[in-house]
Amino acid sequence: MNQHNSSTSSSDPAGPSEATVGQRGFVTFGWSVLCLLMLDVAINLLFAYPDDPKNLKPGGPALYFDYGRSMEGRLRRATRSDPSQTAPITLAGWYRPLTAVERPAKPGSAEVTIYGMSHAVRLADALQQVSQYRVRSVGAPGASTNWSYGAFLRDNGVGRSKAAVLAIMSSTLPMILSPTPMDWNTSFAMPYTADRFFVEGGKLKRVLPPYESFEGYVHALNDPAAWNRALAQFSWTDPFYDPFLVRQSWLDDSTIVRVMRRAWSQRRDRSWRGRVLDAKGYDRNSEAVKVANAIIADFARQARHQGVIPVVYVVDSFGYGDQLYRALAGTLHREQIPFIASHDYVDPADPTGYLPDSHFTAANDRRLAVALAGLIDHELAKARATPVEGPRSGSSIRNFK
Amino acid sequence: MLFNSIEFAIFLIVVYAFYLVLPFRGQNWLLLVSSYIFYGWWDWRFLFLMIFSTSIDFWTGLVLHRGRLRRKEIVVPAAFLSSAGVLLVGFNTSEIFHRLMGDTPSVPLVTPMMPFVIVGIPTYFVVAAVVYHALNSLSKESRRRACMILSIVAQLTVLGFFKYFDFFAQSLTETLASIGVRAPMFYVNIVLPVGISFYTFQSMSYAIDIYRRELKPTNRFFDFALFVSFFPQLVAGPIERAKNLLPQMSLPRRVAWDRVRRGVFLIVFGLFKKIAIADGIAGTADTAFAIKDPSWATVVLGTAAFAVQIYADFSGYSDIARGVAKLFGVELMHNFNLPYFARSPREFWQRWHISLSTWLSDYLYRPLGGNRGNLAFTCRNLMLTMVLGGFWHGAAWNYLLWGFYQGCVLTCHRVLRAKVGPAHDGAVKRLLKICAFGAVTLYGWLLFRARSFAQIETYTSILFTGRGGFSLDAARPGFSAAIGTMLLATWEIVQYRSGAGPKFYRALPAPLVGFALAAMVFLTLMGMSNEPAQFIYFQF
Repeated sequence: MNQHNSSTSSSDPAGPSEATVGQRGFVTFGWSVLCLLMLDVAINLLFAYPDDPKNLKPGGPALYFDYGRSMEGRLRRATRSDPSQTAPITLAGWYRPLTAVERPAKPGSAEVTIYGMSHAVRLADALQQVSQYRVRSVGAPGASTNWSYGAFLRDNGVGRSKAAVLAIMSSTLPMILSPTPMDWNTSFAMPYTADRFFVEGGKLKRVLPPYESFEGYVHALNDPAAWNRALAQFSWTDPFYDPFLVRQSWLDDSTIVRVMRRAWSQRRDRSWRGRVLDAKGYDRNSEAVKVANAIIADFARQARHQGVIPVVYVVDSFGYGDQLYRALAGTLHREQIPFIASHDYVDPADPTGYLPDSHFTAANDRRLAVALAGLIDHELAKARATPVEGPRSGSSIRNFK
Repeated sequence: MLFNSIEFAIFLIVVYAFYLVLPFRGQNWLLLVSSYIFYGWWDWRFLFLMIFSTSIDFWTGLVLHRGRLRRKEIVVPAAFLSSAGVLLVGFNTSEIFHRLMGDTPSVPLVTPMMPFVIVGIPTYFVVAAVVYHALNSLSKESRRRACMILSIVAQLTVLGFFKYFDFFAQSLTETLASIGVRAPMFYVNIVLPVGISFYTFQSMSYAIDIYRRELKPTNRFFDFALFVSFFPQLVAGPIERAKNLLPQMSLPRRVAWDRVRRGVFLIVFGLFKKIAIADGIAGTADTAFAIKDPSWATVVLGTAAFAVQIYADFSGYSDIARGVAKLFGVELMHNFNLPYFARSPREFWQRWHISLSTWLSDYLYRPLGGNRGNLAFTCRNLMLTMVLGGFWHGAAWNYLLWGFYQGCVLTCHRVLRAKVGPAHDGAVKRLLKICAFGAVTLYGWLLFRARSFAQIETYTSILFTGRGGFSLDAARPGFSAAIGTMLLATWEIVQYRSGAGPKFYRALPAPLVGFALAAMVFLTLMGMSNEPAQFIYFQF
């Protein structure tokens, strides 16, 4: 154990004069500013993001330093009018045409359709492998549940299915209020749009997006008036819309501004997530939780109305515990909606259950698929054993454009 | 209010702007009010606890020194304590603010604690008056001794209740249950007030130093209150000594350009360590320690990541604290001095959390007898000091185990040194010793970071059997953390090799320093994308 006395640093009494110290300080400060500017320029030159929209491997540093570019800037760079020339990501997730992945038919098999984000698509792949069902999936990268429900409402093929599975994920629950990932997903520039749902007087109200197809998007992007109208609609319907993050300007050319913008967007997203739902709890009065409950209730009614068994797939992201299930439990039980919640099979606190990109490991996807298959078997058997109920009240959605 | 938050930046700018234009006494008032706002930002109620603690030590210090109190010395703290009790505990302070901002009422203005405040504060004054008269009836030396004991007991009671009550209650219940005795749970789920371990120790040193006649007490209550609550070092140290900090609170301070320059540098350096490195590498440590059965490489990477995280986090906090204090013309202790360059446990504790290790040395190790006996006596004192030092960190068995481990390491080193004698190392031997002792320190961090004995057992077994090999399950460190760690290591190697103090960089060419600072600022901006974590030492 040391026994030396506490020490304090103090300025040297015989040191340089105040003026000299001040001068040195300003010189160092000047060099720091100059070096920062040099860093800014050097990174732009060394790690320039390629202009070719088909280049899917720009390199780690180029990707990293481009994260903070405005969404409009990134979309304009990635988008070409010709679908064969545009970045593949700009073609994903559109409602018109709604693309379903049809997996090979199995003899005498019933069909199941799963709606949602990549977790849902992976579950569909696993379900196709482990069960007797033929599985369709309708998905979009990072899709929030408002997109998925909008897709379900537009899906003409759902009537063929015996069951419809709607995925909802804890980490993107707040984004259920956003009509486009362009406003909230600052990691990937994705232009597709989704329905915006509101709960008014206990009923679900739907606002359709300003465009629903790639062609509509390209037209709007290239027409300043149409683009401004679209952004105006996002600004009043989307709590995530922030012109600093979306609108393109000369600030995009500075690495430092891009890094700061990235930090700002991350801070904002964390704040949103923290306010709505995290590992400790959820805000039952938040609009996102109310809309999520209303959507799953309406989904169940709609599906039953079409003679399809509704199933909700609750995806508990790593680090979120079972809070999403708790936030939805009241509606799930009241409406008697069959569901599987991933926390029953994969510990949300154990990182080994997840891949580094946040998906479940393949083994866990298979476990979940087996559980889902068992649940659908059970529900189908129950439906066969009991007389079919007449359609209960259908959707209460009101559409607004 | 975290140092790495926008709220703190605004708070500091506003406070500093007023500070520069106020006269000395006005500056003190400003700093005291700012410190209380800074602390109350977490929870206003705990501010009362700090004021309560302040009043006890102010009075005991004076009674210890001269016995009788003057009227002003009684009335001012009493009035302040009463007002604080009513306002902070009896009323919902947050609700008052909300209503002032025009929000609709959500909770009653008066809390259910108000009757306890109305009864409790006068009762406290009556008890204090009785104790005061009892103390003054004693002989001088008995009074001095009684006052010191009173101060220590009062401070440790508050600390013990808030920090350790639940731990001991739970441990007792579990122990009884293990031998078949079913006891009712008297676990009360106490919230730990931020920084209580730091300001309690700081306050305790005041009474002890007066008792030792190393310090004269102040008769200005608000100077003393500022000494206890000075916001830059309030919640996580450095744990200051009254003889260093109190005179700086009582005498006019000069804001010299050199101090401002150094202060700004320390703030930038501290933010770089915290935001770019600690927050960027936290995910790696967190995921590694969340895995139930990790691989060998994951355990090693997770422990190394935690070693970097805790150093960057805590030394970053200390740098910012010292930097902010310098802006106000206040000098705080050095808290870190290249700890990972230590070649022995003794040297490590001269370089790591210096304000705590010197506190433990001055107020625990030396009163226990220090090294003024035979080797066994010294080793016993070392062990006791380190175990209590470990327990100071938190109410959990792993901190106790960590302290025990540090005690064992220090004891072994002491015994070896007694047998072999002091070492005279060449460069290669020095490097080898740094690496070897680094491994010893790393294992200590594993004990510190673990959340249960079962985890310590599993991870230790993996560490020594190599189970799981080189597969990595932990998250990769952030970009800013990876580059930032390399920059920090380079910076410290240059400092270590220069043999100069922490201002070594002033001898370097201005463009080089400018580039290093620019890189730190840039990495800090990059690191702002990381999830901001609370400073690790806030929980202690």
